[in-house]
Amino acid sequence: MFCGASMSALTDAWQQALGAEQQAAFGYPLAGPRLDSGTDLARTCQAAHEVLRDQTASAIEKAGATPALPPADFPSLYPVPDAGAAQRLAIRLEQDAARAWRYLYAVAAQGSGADSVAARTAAQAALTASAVRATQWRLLVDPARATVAFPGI
Amino acid sequence: MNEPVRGPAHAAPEDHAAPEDHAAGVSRRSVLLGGAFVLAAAGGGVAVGALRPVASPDKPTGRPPVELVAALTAENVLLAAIDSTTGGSPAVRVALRQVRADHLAHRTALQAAVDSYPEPAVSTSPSGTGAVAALTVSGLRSAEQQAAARAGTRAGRLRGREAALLASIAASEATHAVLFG
Repeated sequence: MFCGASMSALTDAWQQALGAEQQAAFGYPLAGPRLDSGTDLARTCQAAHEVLRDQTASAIEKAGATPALPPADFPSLYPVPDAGAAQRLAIRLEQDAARAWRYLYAVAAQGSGADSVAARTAAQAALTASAVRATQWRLLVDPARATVAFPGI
Repeated sequence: MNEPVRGPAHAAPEDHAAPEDHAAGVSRRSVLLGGAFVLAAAGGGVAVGALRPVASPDKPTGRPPVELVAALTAENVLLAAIDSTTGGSPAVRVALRQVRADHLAHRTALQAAVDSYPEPAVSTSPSGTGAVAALTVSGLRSAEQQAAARAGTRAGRLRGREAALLASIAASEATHAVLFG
């Protein structure tokens, strides 16, 4: 039971998280060929997002909704002309994911039922994971600017 | 409890200008506390949903939640621990500057959240930051990991925008552990 906010709002937030994971799973293969460092990190990130994408879709199905299909393309992710652009894309993918998961957390935090608690648990873990990955990428780009005070905001 | 903590030389602020989210200040705080997500629309379909503001709860009443006050106290303790370090290698000093700036931003946001309640907070232990033993790099990493876990737990016990704020702070503190890794 989800008390305090509508189930549709929670489902919508789950779909947004799914969209972010779909984008990340799509985007890393765009970045990978251009990278001159961080290729292992890119593979690790891609694998993590693919797993999370599938887990998120399953969670939506278990809630009785239909997971949104990914778009055929993500035009806003192009172009990726060089290694610098690839690293910036990786950071952006993680930031977008962090924002989507924090949004889910914020929606779920208005409720108090079991669905709310489950969503908050999943969202906290995913938000933290994306924040950590974004930091790992920023360390490659500019170690003096590797963190942000409020991931997902 | 919430007195400003002076930083050592390694914590000089000029080197940690915000890449994005470090633009702390009135506007940042208002975003954090207002529950509105001011995001660049460049995220395409992903950002569209995140742009929708989450409904703000009612105006705070009574005393601030104990978990919120405890989170503020924890930030002060962490800041004191950071300020007690000597800085170590240049790489560690670079990390310390960033981490300290983040914790200052956390404290500012949490203090504003606490101050939004009409009644004063009940003090939580420890009552002050006092003398804090200097931490090694591994000690700092451990402290940040513990802080992230505790902030996540506290977030789970709160509701609304305060919960979401602490969730973000928990994620931030997890990234600090990476810097000290």
